[in-house]
Amino acid sequence: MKTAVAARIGAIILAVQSSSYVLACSIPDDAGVTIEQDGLTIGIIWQQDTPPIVGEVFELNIIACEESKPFVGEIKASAMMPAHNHGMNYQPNVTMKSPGQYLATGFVFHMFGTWRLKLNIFSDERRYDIEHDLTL
Amino acid sequence: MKLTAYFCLVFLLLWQPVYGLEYSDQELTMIRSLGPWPTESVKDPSNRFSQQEGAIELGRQLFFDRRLSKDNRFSCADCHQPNQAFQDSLPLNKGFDPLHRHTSSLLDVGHRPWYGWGGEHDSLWSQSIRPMLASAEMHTNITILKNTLKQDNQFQCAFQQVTDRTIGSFSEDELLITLGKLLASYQETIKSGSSSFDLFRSQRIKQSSRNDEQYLSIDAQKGLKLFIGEARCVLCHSGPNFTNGEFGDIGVPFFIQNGQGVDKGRYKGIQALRKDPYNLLGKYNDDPSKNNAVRTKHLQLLHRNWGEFKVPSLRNVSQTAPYMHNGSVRTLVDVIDFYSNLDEERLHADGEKILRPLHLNEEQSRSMVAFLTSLAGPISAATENTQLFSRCQ
Ligand code: HEC
Ligand code: HEC
Repeated sequence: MKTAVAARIGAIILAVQSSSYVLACSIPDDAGVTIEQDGLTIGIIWQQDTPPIVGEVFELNIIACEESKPFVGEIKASAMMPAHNHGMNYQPNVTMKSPGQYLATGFVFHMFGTWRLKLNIFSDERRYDIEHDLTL
Repeated sequence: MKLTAYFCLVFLLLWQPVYGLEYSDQELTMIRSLGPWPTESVKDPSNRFSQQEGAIELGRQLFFDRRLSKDNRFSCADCHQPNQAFQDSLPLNKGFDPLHRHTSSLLDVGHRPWYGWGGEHDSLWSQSIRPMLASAEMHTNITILKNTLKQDNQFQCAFQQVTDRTIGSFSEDELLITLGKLLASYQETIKSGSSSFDLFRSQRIKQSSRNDEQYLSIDAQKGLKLFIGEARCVLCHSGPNFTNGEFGDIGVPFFIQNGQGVDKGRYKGIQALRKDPYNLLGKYNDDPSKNNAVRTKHLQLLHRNWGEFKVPSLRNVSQTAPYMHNGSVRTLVDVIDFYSNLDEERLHADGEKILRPLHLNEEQSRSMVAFLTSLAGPISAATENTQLFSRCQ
């Protein structure tokens, strides 16, 4: 009985601790790109800290903070070249690693020029459509 | 004052002839991106025999072995001829039936993301299995192959030396894949060497000296400027291999001769790849991490893939006529004419907004051909090394 109570108290302490840890959300210094839009802040960390290279597979880490709390929801990622009106030949996949931290895999920018990265970030309550242009 | 003017004149007279063309920073960035060449050989992690001496020799023997076809009719080398830059110089060849695609050159064929004009395969070894089984090409099957090879004691012995197993102990599927991987190990050694363009490039990027006409004629340099500039060729024919490894629709007709339907190119290619039991997502990929399967996993099938074909490498392109997936363009001059007079109507309405008719004048066309011709380097491939299997004789 006693151990059960202790375990329960322990669990509560842990929960409080981890939730206060989870609550803080900030964009790390090594983010290659930071974007702010309507109270949402996005940090993009390139794989190995280098921006994409033409024709090579790459992935990126995305940190999403909403009013300095981690954004918990879903992200859909795509990219296209506005000048040529075509997208990638690949469909990236985004998974949430922990609250506010996402990993997006399966990108290939197959041409020199300007690519528009598009992130649709949404939960049941909110939706943000973020675009970021970068030129290779 | 007069003296300075005099010196200036002398200086100009002396230096003008050795001064090449000027290049902007942007042009230099593009030139840099087209090398270095040759690239270092890297092992193909999906093929456990890649870069192994014994496998290369056994693969070489298989490549020239007509027993890989029905009635011993064709070897790989009959279509991919070593003295023709590993292609056949025909618009469309004929195996057991007429083919409707032009034979690809096998130069620098290792480490491509996709194989076949429609990218039907994602590894060199799975692509190498296809011709043996295709009814229009070598038209054999693995049961026949296994029997034939098992009766050859010398081959059996060499095979066991390389794979540590007897042919008999392989299932038919395993044997087929192993033959594909051995053939691939040899083909990875088929390479084009340093070309005049490569010498020019390394000179240009490391030295401030502009005396580089000795590597690349002014004519070819003008072609280069068009290629990386106004003509936008470098958008698709990019990187050291002069291909981005992907697919495009440049308006080459996709109707097959004699009314045999259409070649859907990449569209059909993706469908075939997904169904291929030997693709990199499957169990025959020797890389347990499957990091090499990311492209295959994330590939999407799009409407625009219809009629797209692989962007071919342009290395040694002056030696690989005729051109295009259906061999329909005879010479390099004709290729330039084709790009010069592109029929915009024929390009898909929702297609790439990259291409437009270039309307090059005669001098520009000549420069472009001169540039493309400068991309030829010496061809090499693994040579006979039979003493490796001396104990099998
Ligand atoms: C009858 C002629 C013929 C024979 C025999 C033949 N090939 Fe081919 N090869 C072709 C044609 C045609 C293509 C283009 C096929 C396509 O795109 O669907 C091709 C394409 C290839 C490619 C793809 C190259 C690329 O860059 O995409 C490889 C690799 C290849 N062949 C290897 C082989 C091997 C190995 C053999 C022997 C086992 C062989 N071929 C036998 C005609 C032939
Ligand atoms: C939109 C991408 C794209 C652009 C831009 C482009 N190409 Fe191509 N190129 C291709 C594709 C795709 C093929 C193969 C088409 C087919 O077989 O149907 C090809 C084929 C070729 C071939 C034939 C090679 C062979 O082995 O068959 C040559 C040569 C060539 N291009 C040169 C050029 C030059 C020069 C330019 C610039 C004027 C250029 N390309 C611009 C995509 C492109």
